[in-house]
Amino acid sequence: MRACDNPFAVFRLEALRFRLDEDGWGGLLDRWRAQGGRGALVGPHGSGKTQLQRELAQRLEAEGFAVRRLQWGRDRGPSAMEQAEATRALGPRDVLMIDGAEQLAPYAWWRLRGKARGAGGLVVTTHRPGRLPPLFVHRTSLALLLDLVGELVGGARAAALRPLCDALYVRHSGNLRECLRSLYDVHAQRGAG
Amino acid sequence: MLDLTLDGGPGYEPGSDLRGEARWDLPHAARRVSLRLFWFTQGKGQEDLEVVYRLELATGALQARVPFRLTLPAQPYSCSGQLVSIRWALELVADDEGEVHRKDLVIAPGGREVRIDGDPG
Repeated sequence: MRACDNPFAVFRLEALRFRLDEDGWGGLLDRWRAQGGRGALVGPHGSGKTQLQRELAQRLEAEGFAVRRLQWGRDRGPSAMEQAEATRALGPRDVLMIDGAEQLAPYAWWRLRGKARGAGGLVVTTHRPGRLPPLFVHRTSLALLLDLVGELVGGARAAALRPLCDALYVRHSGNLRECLRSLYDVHAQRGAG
Repeated sequence: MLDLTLDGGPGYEPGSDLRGEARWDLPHAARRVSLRLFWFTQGKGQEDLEVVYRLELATGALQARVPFRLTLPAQPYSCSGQLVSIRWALELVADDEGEVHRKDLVIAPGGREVRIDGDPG
């Protein structure tokens, strides 16, 4: 199977919408405002924090906010220049979003939070609560994995993949990203159409 | 409405000329209408993308038909394996990202995508 035809290719995964209905969005945005635009999206690896942050950014941009993003991974983070650019002259219509805030050492976090003091918002993703009051606490489930797989491959094929999804969900300890990456490999090797 | 008509295709030889016509009929005058040729990756990893050619066609026109000609790059070839595909596309863009029309291209020897996993098909 060509990589671009694989139903679990990254561009298809990134097109999946975060499972939050309009009431859920209303509650999240109310909390965001009540907390002065500050908050954390808290959850384990592969639970959709980055996706939710991306969609929250789109909603805030639609409300007229300018969103700036910084992303830290396990291996690398933004350069000092990128950090300086993202935090320069933050104002009340600016929102700073930090993905992977747990990667920041305490002093670096303290500095960034200080630079964002004048911003209209500061939203981080993190694996554990603590850095900012939670906006949303992520949980995964097998049902959620099956729902996502169903959207990617259709209901009939998703039903056929159910036993594999069961096994992957356990093997990857509920990390949906890793489950979907494994499903990519299975499809690439099978050459399944 | 934005539209692209290409001579030949969708497969092209690397380094060959691509001729076509860009047309648009917009409800309000676009500040800028441009053409961009780019490759991008799709597959298991994060997507990569590079714009290799950009041409500004007009500014302020509600309607237009503009012929164009460009020389396609020699590489990278359009190709696909199990882990990654490299694909090419030509886009006509009004007002940066306001409205976009896209044509997928194959740029490779013989105008056929190269398979990099040994699978002919």
